Formats: sequence, structure tokens, C-alpha cells
Amino acid sequence: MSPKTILYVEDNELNRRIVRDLLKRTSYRLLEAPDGETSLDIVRRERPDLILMDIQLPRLSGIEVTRTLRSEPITANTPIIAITSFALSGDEQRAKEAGATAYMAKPYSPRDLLALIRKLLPESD
Amino acid sequence: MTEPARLTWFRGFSSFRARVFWSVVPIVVSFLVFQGWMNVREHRRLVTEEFEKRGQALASNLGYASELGALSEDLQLLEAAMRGTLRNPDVSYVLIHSRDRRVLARGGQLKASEAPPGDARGDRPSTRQVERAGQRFFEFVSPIVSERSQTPDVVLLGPRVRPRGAEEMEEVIGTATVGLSLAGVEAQVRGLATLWSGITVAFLVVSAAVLYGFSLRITNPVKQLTQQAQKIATGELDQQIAVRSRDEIGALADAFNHMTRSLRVSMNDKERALSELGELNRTLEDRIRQRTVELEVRGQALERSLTELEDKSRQLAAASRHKSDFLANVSHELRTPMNAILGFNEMILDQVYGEISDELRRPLTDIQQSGQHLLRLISDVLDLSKIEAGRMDLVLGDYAVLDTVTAVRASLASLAAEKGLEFVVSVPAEMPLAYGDGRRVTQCLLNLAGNALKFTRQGRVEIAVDLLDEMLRFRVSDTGIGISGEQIDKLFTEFQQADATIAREFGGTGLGLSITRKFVEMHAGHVWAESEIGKGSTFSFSIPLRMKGTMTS
Repeated sequence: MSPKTILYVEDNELNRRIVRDLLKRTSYRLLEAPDGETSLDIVRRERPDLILMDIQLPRLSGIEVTRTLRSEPITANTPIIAITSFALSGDEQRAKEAGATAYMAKPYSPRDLLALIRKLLPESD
Repeated sequence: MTEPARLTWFRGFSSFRARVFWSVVPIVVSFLVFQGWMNVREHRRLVTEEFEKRGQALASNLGYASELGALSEDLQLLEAAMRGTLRNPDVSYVLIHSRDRRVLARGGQLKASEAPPGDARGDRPSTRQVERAGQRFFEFVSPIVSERSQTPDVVLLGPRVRPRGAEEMEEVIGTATVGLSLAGVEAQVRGLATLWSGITVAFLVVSAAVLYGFSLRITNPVKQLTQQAQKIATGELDQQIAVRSRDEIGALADAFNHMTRSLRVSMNDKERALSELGELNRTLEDRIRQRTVELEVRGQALERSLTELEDKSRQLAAASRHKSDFLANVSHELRTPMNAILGFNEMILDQVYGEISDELRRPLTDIQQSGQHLLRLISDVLDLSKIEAGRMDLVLGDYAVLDTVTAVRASLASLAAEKGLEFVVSVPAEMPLAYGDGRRVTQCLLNLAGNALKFTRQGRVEIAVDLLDEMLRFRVSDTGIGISGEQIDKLFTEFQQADATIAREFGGTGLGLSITRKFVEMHAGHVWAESEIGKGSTFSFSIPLRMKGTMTS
């Protein structure tokens, strides 16, 4: 049984390290992308089981990447958790409209994030 | 004849003066001529009559005087008888004829060859006109009577009339003829006719002159009136007609002068009014021009001010936008390190990196709570700056009132439990769906309930909701320290807390209430507070169950 693959799209190294540390003790395999274009390449190559998508990305925004992923057959049903910059800014509304499965407001609790990931993508079948 | 001359002539006939003249003169002339003719005729008749009488008398006298001479046919006696007669200046000639019509004697301006024979009917006196040598004469014939023989059936005429039946016998023995020249009479008649003609002409001239003068007295004022009227028609009103008479013309002139004066007065009034009006107009125009210029100047100044104001306003808006953008950016930038701090700290607490001692757990928990607090403050600042910049939009939709209360209770339950406070919520069982920005309503309720828990040391905090007349009322009451009336008024102003010492004891910036007020007002609602020092406070806000339209701050 191969480990479930999670792609984290996030430009900030510190934030990427939080998720990296968080998932270290789990069976999930973590892929990281620093921007939207790279994430699209990785998605087509690696076909992750779940995507953590930060909304505020340089150049191509998380909203646009989400919309693109949803329009492609391979990723049309892949769970996408949108990491919005702020719970009350309206980002989550836009993320939902673009096709995100769930959202998490930044700053998020790693504990809550892991719970959400496990809910959408159980570690083992 | 030229046209103007014809007109003058025509006017001459049709003018009043001409009409008077031509109606009076023929009467006068015909009267004078008739009178003259009658006079001359009568005079001629009288003169002729007298002439004839004298002639007959002369002839008769000559007849008597020639009785003896004729009887004797003595020329000397006859010439003596004729001499007396010839002394009369009118007598041109005399003739004495015998009974058998022979010329016995002649005298005066008559040649022997011209002497006619005696008249056949010489026994009666007669008168006749004759022409001799181109001259007209009156001839008077009288019989020469002798008293020698008497004939009873002879009719005796003349001055020596004898009673009928007289014994004496009279016999005609010849005729005496006296020729009187008509020249004297005719000259007299001619003189008279001439005199009359002269009188007629003189009378005519005088009467024409009088008529002319009289008509002048009538027509001159009329002419003047006419000229005056023409002048008035052209606008000249300063002339008066000289009034000389007291008749109808004078009255007319008087009336006319009066009319002219009135007209002048009214014209003067009118002109004055007109000039005043004109003056007024000019003044008005000047004033309008002046006012227009002033207005233009003011308008330009105003425009400049407006432009400046617009610039300032734009600058201000831009500055405000910049501030808001800056705060949003700062807020976002702050969030990233906050995320890292809180994330790592939580993972340490959750022993992701290994076991931690209880001594370490205490400060790590403090870091976590302070970090959360800092995060809330950052959120409040961002919200307020957005509201101030007018960039805060409500996201309208249906929401369940129960959900908002439940969410607030869920996020604050742990805090209440930590402080050992009773935390209750009451929402009516059957509550219709509300329309508005559910998340902002939740935020407001969270602010109020958070404050209530913060400022209450013991007792309870209660959230109650009710619906009255389509208005939702949220009520958060506590048994906390309470606040004074004066302080309540300041509460909802930005950055106000009831007391600086309270802030130190309980924390918070006071931003929560300001943001709550703004959101409630954006929902067309209002917020208020009741409190009693030491007993507790109740903070309430009411908003329409279903708000209308989209509102921005």
C-alpha cells in the first residue's frame, strides 16, 4: 500500500516547514510547490491525493490554480483545502466558488489542519 | 400745367376761403349789376320823361309866340319868337311851318337844305325821334293856333283850353317844331352808368377785401391749427396758437392749445418715464454686467476652490486608501509570522517535537494565548481601517440566528469554563431565517460576549435573542463590574475604554465596540448599553430580521 500524497502549495518557507513537521510523524507523503505554475507541473506529474492551496501566491493566485485544477479531468475530484489569508476577508467565499473542498483561515492551528486532512483523506483505507 | 400747380389751383377752389368767396361774390355782383341796371333804366326813364315834357313845353311856347309871325308870315317876328327858344342849351334847332307845310322860318343848327316840310298832322302836338345828318334828335311839334275863326267841332288841346261852347273860334295856321339833341340825355345816362359801374367795382373790391380779411380771420387759425396738428404729428409740441378772437375759432384754438399742453405734459411725462426707464435699463444692464462679472470671478474662485477641494479630497481618499492598503498589507505580513509562531508553538505543545516538561508547558501556553490576542487585535485594526476607507462590504445572504449564537458559544465556552462563569444562551425555538451578513453579526455578538466574559469575575453571562416587529434583538448581559452612564456614552467611540486601569487589568483596545457599532449600523440597526456599577451590564443591538439591499460603511 503506497502512502497518500499531499501537495502543499505555499510560497513561505516557514509555513511549509510547519506542515512538513506536522506530517513528519504521519504516513502522508508531502510534496511542496512554491508557486502556482510549479504546482500545476507537479500535479500533472505526481497526481497528489489532496492539495493544500494557499490563496495568496505570487503571480498565479491560488484561486486561479484551483479553478484550473477543477477544469482538468485528473484533478476534477481531488480534495483541495484552501488556506485563506484571513477568515473574514471573503477569500474563503471566492475559494469555494473556484471549487475548493474546504478552507482553513490563516493563522491556522496545525492540530485543526491535521484533523481536517485526516477527515478528507484518511491515512489508511 | 404742372402737377403741383394743378393741385394748388384745385386747393384754391376747394379751400374754405375760396368756397366763401365764390359763394358770396356772385350774389354781390348780380345784386349790384341788377341794381345798377334798374337805376340806370329808371333814371333814363325819368330824364327822358322830363326831356319830353320840356320839349313839349318849348314847342308849345314857341307855337304861342309864333302866332302873330305865322299870321303875318313876318320873318322878323318869327325869328324874335325863335330866339327865346334857341337860348335853351338843349335845343338844336327850331322850325316854323305854315298851314300848307311851307317852311316859314328856321333857326339853330339846321341848314336850309335840310329843313323838312311841315307835318301833315300838325294840328295836334306830337313827339318823334328823327335822325338828321347822322344825329338823333327828339322833335316836338306843336300847332300854331289863331283865335280868329271859331269852329265848334274843333277839339282844342294844350294849355289854352277853353270851355266847351266858347264863342271864340280857333284855327291852326301852322306848326312849331323844336329839335332837341339826345346827346345831353345820353351823356347823362352814360355818366350814370359809368358811375354805377364804378360803384359796383368799388363795392366789389371792398367787399372782396372785407371777405378776404374775414375769411383770413377764420382760415388763419384753422390753417395754424392744421400746421400745429401736423407738427404734433411729427412730435413738436412746444408751439401755441395765438388766440385773437373770442368766437368759436378762438374756443377751438383754446381747446387745441389746452390739448397741446395736456399732450405735452403727458408726452413729457411719457418721455420722462421713458428716459427713466431707459436709465433704469442701463443701470440694470450695468448692474447685471457688474454682477455677472462678480459672479464669474466668484464662480472662478469657487471653481478653483472646488478643484482644490476635489484635489484635496482625492488626495485624502488616496491617503486613506493607502493607509487602508498599508494596514491590510501589514496585517497580512503580520499574519505570516504569527502563523509560524502560533503554529510551531502549538506543535511544541502538542509534543510533535517530543515530550515537554510541565514547567515548559506553562510559558508555552502563555505564548499561545498572547499570540491569539495579538492576532485578534490585528484583525480589529484591519476591520476598522477597511470600514473607515469605505471598503468594507457586507456579504449578504440568508443565515440562521441560532448558528450565530452557537458559533459564539463554541468559541467562548472554554474561556467561560476557565473563569468558572455560567454561560447560557437562549434563542426562541421557531426563528425564521434572517437576511444579512451572518458572519459580521456573529463577530458583533462575539465582541459583546467576549467583553462580558472579560469583565466578569464571577456570576454568569447570558446571550438572549428575541424577535419583535421584524426586528431581531441580541442581548448580552453579565454580572460584571458595570460602568457609569458617562462612560457608556464614550464606549462606542473608537479606541475608548471606560477606564485606562480597566484596560490594564482586563486588556483590549476598545476596538471591538466600535467595530460592532459600525457593523450594526451597516445593517440599519442600532446598539446600546445599560449598566449599574457593581451589578453588571447589558449590551444590546437590534437589526432588521431581513435587511434591504447592500450597504457599505
